[in-house]
Amino acid sequence: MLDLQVPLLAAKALLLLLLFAFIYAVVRRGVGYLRAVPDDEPFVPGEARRGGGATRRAAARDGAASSADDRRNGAAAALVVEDSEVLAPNTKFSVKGGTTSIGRSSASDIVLKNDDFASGRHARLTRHGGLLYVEDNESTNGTYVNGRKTVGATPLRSGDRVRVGSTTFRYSE
Amino acid sequence: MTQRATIPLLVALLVTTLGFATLIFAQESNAPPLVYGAYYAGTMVALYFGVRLWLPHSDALLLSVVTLLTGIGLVMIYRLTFDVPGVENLATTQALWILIGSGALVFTVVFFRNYDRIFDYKYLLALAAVALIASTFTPLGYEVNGARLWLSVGPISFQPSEFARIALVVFFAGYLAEKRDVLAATSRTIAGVQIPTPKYFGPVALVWAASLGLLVFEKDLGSSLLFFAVPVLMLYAATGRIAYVILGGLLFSVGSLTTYLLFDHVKVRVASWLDPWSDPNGTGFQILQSLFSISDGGLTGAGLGGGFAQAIPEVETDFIFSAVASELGLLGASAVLLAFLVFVYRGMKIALLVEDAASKLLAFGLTAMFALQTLIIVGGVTKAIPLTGITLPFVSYGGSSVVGNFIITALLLVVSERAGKRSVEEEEAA
Repeated sequence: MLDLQVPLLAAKALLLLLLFAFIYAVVRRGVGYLRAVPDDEPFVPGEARRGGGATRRAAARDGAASSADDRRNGAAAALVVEDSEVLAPNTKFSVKGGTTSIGRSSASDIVLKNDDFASGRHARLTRHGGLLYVEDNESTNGTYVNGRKTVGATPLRSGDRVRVGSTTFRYSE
Repeated sequence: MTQRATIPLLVALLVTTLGFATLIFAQESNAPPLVYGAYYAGTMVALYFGVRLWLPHSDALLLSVVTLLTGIGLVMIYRLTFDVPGVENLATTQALWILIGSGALVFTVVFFRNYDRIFDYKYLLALAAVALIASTFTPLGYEVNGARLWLSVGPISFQPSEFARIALVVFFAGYLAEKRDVLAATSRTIAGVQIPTPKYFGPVALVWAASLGLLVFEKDLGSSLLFFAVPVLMLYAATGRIAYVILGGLLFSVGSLTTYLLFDHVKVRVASWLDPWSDPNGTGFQILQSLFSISDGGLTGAGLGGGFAQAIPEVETDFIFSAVASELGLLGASAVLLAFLVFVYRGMKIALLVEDAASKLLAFGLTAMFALQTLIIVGGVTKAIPLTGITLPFVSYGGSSVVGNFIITALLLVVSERAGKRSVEEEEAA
């Protein structure tokens, strides 16, 4: 009977070990990489032009941004008109670094001329920490992302629908 | 979302193999027909690689957790029943059910890969769910242990409520995704609590009340608890209004008190929870044996085959967690609970990552149901809450439960495929 005890004890220990090896393996693979939003820099709306690390600021000043910085600043980012009463469909507005304003006013970067549902200075887009944020400028009718009214600065992801006045843009990176 | 999980899968199969080897060695029992073990391992491996192939962006980690849980279930069921006359083939039957469940998983994945159209049939599904639950009142239904839960059609008998609940989650997900805005935006208040418009809340309340009422009369307390809580949680997830949770809590208190006063079997359950020693050989016997077994397990357990969990009535279904705790100890039981936690974590993550509201609510609802079911039965057998008979997902013996849980896994997999595809497209576009 004694010679049976030792292997049984070993089997028991091994089984528990294996159980926890399983837990370790699944937890290591499966836990902890929810979408990472860069949180190293606190976001202050409207300050994106000055925001960012020292290197990026230097690169932007020199006007010689590296390709990596290009991507981080969203060189390829654009708003494409999906549906509008005042703009032709598929009109593409590329979004550069800094602030991009949207509104009925002709001083805006993206002008929604004669759109009765848009305010003069309706919304602005700011880039911060590699993400483009849309922020409503206290407009009359509000700004919607994917059908939901935005409150404060809302980060955009590729494919999101942004509605300003009668116009719906699709954001693509 | 894309997730490879080959190593966890192999570890899970290794656990099962070692479990059976220990049992054969320790009990000097006849080896179970090993061909069933090969079937089981083959099924799970084939399922894993099939899913990796068909749904390359999906969360295959779910499958390795399922493999571990079903494997431990098989080992425990075999250990508890191989020398009990009359039920000595229960483990092989369970292996067969796992095979059928895998078939159901493949079927669901193949036919519902683009699952949007199932939301078009949500009212039909709700009707089907209520009809399924009600079907046990027909002559085809029969009672087991005082609860009329079973339906026998020809040679097959099953518990329709195990499938009805999936249909109900699909209904609530589809309906709430469509109406969440009108349900959240409400202006009428009664005593400071915002009350939803009856027009939009009506269908939810109707389906909810119908399924719940039927289950209460079938004396299926565990399922009643699930059917009560899951829609409340889904309403909260859909609207973000705490009022629904408060309202649900109030309704729960009133409902529990009413059922306690109306039904004797509820009184018995509560009494044996509060003081099992008042009738240690009668109503308190089951829960006391369960507590003895768990405490006998200690930290590392009595070892497979070393416990006396067979003394608990219904040990292979409701009380399988006590058997696990008895033979694998606190450590083993914690590992099993952690495996459940990983499953729930992944489910919630799928709900967070998928884009559209209906998929989010579907993933959330299914995961919440899975989590609550685990909580209700583990809480029940450890005497933390009154015992309500319900299976421990994947581990307990029970055909309907196993097949139903495989279908839940399949739905989570197709939703995770969509979430994974989206994040891949985003990365490529960026």
